[in-house]
Amino acid sequence: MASAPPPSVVPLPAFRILHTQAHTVARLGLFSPSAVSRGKPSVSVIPTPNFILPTSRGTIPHITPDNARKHVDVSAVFVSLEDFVDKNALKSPVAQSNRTIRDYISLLPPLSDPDHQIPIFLSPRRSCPVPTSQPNSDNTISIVTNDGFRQLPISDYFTLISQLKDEDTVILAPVDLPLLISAKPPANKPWKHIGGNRVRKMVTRNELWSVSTLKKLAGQNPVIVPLLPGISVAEQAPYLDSILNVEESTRVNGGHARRGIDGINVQELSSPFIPESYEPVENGYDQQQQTTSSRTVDFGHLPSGFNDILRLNLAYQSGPHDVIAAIERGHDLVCGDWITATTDAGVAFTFGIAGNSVSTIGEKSDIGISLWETELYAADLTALSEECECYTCKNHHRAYVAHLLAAKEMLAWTLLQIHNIHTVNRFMSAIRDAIKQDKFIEIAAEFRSKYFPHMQGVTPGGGPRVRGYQVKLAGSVTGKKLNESPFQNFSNDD
Amino acid sequence: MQAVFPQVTKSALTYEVIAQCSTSKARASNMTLPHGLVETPMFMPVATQASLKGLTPEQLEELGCKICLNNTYHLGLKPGKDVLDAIGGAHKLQSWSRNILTDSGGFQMVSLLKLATITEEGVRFLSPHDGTPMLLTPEHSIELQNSIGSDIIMQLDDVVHTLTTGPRVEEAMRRSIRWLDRCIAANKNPDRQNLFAIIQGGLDLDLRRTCCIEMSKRDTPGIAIGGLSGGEAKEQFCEVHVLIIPDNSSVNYCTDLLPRNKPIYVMGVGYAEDMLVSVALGVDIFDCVYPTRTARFGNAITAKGVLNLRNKCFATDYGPVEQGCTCPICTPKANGGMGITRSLIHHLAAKETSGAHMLTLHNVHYQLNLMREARQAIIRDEFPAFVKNFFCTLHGGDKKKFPKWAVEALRTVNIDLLAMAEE
Repeated sequence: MASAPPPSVVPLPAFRILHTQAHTVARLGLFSPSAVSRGKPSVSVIPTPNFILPTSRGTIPHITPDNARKHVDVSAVFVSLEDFVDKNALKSPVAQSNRTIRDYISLLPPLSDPDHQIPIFLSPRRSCPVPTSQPNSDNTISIVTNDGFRQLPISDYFTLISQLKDEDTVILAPVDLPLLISAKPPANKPWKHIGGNRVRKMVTRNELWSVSTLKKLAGQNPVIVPLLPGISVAEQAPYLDSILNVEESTRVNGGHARRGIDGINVQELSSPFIPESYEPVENGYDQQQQTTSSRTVDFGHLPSGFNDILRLNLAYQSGPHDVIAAIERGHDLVCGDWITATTDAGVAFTFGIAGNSVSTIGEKSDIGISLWETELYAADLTALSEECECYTCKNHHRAYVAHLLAAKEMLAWTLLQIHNIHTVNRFMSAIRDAIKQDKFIEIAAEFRSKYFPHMQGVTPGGGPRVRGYQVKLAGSVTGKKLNESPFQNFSNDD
Repeated sequence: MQAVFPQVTKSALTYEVIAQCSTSKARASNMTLPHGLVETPMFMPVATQASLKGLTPEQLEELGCKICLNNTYHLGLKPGKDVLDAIGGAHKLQSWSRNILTDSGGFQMVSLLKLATITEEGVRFLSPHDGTPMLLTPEHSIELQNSIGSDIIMQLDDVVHTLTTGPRVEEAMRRSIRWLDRCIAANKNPDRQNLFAIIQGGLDLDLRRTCCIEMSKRDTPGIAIGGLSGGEAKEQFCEVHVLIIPDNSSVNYCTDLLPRNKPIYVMGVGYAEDMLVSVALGVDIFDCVYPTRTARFGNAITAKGVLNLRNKCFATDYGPVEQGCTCPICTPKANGGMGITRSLIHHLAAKETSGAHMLTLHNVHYQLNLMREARQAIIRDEFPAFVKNFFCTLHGGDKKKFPKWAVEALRTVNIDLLAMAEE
């Protein structure tokens, strides 16, 4: 558990820009959470642009820690406290454990580099949270737990954070968003209009929450605060002013006053997506007003205070095209929920970019293959995607994964997840190389011309057994059973 | 007149007893199969559909597993014989380079399908896909197992519930002998696939005797004792193992009648106590879905008993699943393990697939390790003490809790659990 470092250590901002390219806002960067407390960079860095792997109840879906450290290159993970608390946050098992969250969930350094502590992004809510039906208050945020909807006191959040964090933890400020009744805004109103009162409350409440987070923690860990979605930059000016001006007053030291904010987080106003049928989701909100949204906010047009800090995009990306678009608009980190969703759909990514893609001149291809097409892959002993060197592709083949899916064996999703995360890692790495060589604009255009954004000739299949959090809670009580019975009684009687 | 029957002329297995317990009938042996050496006593985890419930073959290898079981019935449905032929067998399908044992498919027929009728030809049933009538014959079962390419294949036997009485039991036993002959004739690959016979006969010792004698004459590479694990009460299980009068014990009886230079396999037995008692009676290999299945329900098998980690009391238990266990999840992080706590398993059990995988790793390790330790004890000729220790730990030192069937079974091989516990 990290505490404020001695005054002799001069804090460094966590984020550093390494390279920018003309004609684009995309940039190459390095994010080092422990630089804040140590005053110098460490080995536990996140090169950007990159993605954060979301965890579910503390685990990378389908991957045990031994497989993770051997076969998955994890740049960062996203951990939400609503996965760990039930009725009483401070009495929850994780709170009583006397351990950091890293220790509790057994997040291990990679085998190849035991000193590398994988950065953890800590937040009250999941990266794609289930919409709640209860409003927040000035002191509490509404969350979804095992026991149902709860109100988490903001003070409890801060108490928990101080117990659970270490120096490689990144803290997300709690975000107050208005309650939404429907998951999708009505067709005739692309943006559900937030009433004036609620706008005012949103601005003041987020100011309260973000400034508290910054004041409590900015001396020890990087803090990420939200850009308020659904309202214009003008409307949230007082908020932006406040957060940009919080200084680490404890650390002013011979002129080294450091601005407390280390990152800004942009997310959707409307309910972040849990795809209902595991299919890729069509995005496209028509922007009528100049409201901020993760899909449209362009950091080229925002106050310059946001230039040299980390920009995180927590909205649900539907695929690599969205990710490229986010990077083009100046985001440094995106969240990886779309990877797990793709895995759960039984789809293996086969896309590549720039240097590491298999070129099929002229034709557009799909970004992946669905291993549910059992007849097609039944005896196909080739790797999930050509030239891939992940554990799955080096040791197994399409026929096996197709068989496992058809047999509903859990190993199917483990093997797919390892492969899909690896593919996205290669993708991000190639993008970083391209920015470094001033080639990002070209490779982005080339990628778009090569791949369809959504799977065309492919039918993703059903996912693993749905349990717990994967069930959409608010307002979707259907009579339909979510898990098919795996075995039916087979009777001879007529 | 002597009946003429086919004899097995080739064997793809070598079996060598390297140590014999001087008190009981337990033995430690080396069994070499086409895909490597298997040291017995040995437990085989069950990878029903060519996958051990979420574990990669690499994880299974690292637990020290040398042989696992695949189910012919399931693989015959998915991916099916044609795909298996195209790929070149189950080893290639699941990228498992060690040994595989397949059962005949007969047991699943009878237990999974609502209506399966047994005739001399084979087992008649309705396809679970589309209801068309199908027939599983000894020839067809062996053909499927040939396509799977497993190292040990099992004959199709006529299985009856252990507690069945009456003429059906004898009919099943005799038919099993006839089906064994058909299986031997049908095996295309005796040079790389070892066909095991399965002794039937219910609880009737005379029938068991006849079956043992007849099947031994066929000289198969190995022998299994079947019809014993359909959930019958332990007392009956051990009646087949051992009757109250020591001379009339059944598995004991069988193991006395069977050749000692061949591996003996009891199918479907996987509780720790059952395995250890069976080892004392002379059994070499076991299989069971129990450890992997119970892991998915949040149950951890430990030396002190089975813990249901979904119980609320484990929510704040920050110790390892089993203190001192050397499996990948219990080994502390400082020693290169994952250091998973009971609290974390409680947090994940039945909610995240990786939670099930973690407990599966522990439970499979437990079973394999138990057999490894039994083997070492036999080699050091300290097996009786090992068994006594095991029961003591399991029952908290209270010998009144030792199950009666176990005490009596062990007595027939000169291990007196009660006497030793008093020391």
